[in-house]
Amino acid sequence: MINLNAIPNKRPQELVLVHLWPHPLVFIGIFLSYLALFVIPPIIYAFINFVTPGAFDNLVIMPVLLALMFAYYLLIMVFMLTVWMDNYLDVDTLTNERLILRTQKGLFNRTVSDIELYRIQNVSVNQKGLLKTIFNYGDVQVETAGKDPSFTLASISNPVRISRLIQRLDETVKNNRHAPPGQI
Amino acid sequence: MFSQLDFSLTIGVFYWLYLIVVAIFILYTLINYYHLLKFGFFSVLNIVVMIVYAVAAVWLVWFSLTTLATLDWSRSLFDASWIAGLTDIFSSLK
Repeated sequence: MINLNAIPNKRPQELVLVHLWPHPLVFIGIFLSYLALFVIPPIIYAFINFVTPGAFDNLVIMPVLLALMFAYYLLIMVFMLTVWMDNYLDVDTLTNERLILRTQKGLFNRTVSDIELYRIQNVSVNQKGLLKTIFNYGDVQVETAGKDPSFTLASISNPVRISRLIQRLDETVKNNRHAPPGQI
Repeated sequence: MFSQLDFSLTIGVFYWLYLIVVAIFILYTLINYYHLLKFGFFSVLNIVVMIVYAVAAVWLVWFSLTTLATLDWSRSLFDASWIAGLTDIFSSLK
């Protein structure tokens, strides 16, 4: 596992300020939706058993349904782990010099890119919906002068605070770049 | 020609299918663990998720294998009794 201060191609003066994961509520929502899938087989079993008592006593149906049910549970579990991995590895890191974006899509697609803070032109916050307002999470849209004009830090906690932090760092980096070498 | 073919398929086919799913499950679990260990940050949450998942996965595979191993898989897949059983279920749902 990676140390929390580890970032790709770390520069000598670079400091890790914050790692940005999706809000915990996003993970809880995914977990609950998969948990609902776990409950489906017992509900179907109870319902059919209620309507037709003894329907599953058949010596051919019962083993087949058991095998299918266990296979279903195994697949649900491994999908859950994949979704966790997919979301947990989608972590963006803000340093005092750049924004590092890591994107995991499925099992075999991983992208790591970085954006220099001085390239940032505009930062906006999108916090729509009841849950996002109550639990203070949302999207931060960052527009840059690079070849990828904009990207989104999706469903992160404290989006307003993070956007202000990015703006403040951006100003500091730009001031330092334009200042004569002796004043930096 | 077709009359000479042996159609003695048993429900053991489903047991083999289940074993294939177990193999896929183990393979995908290992790939996921590889990603989490290689690219994931060292955090308590990540470690807890991995341990809880490992315990649940081992238990589920062990429980399902021991449960299914006790069943009789030699019955014919084309045994008419299970079709009758299914018909009963569907007719009761109407």
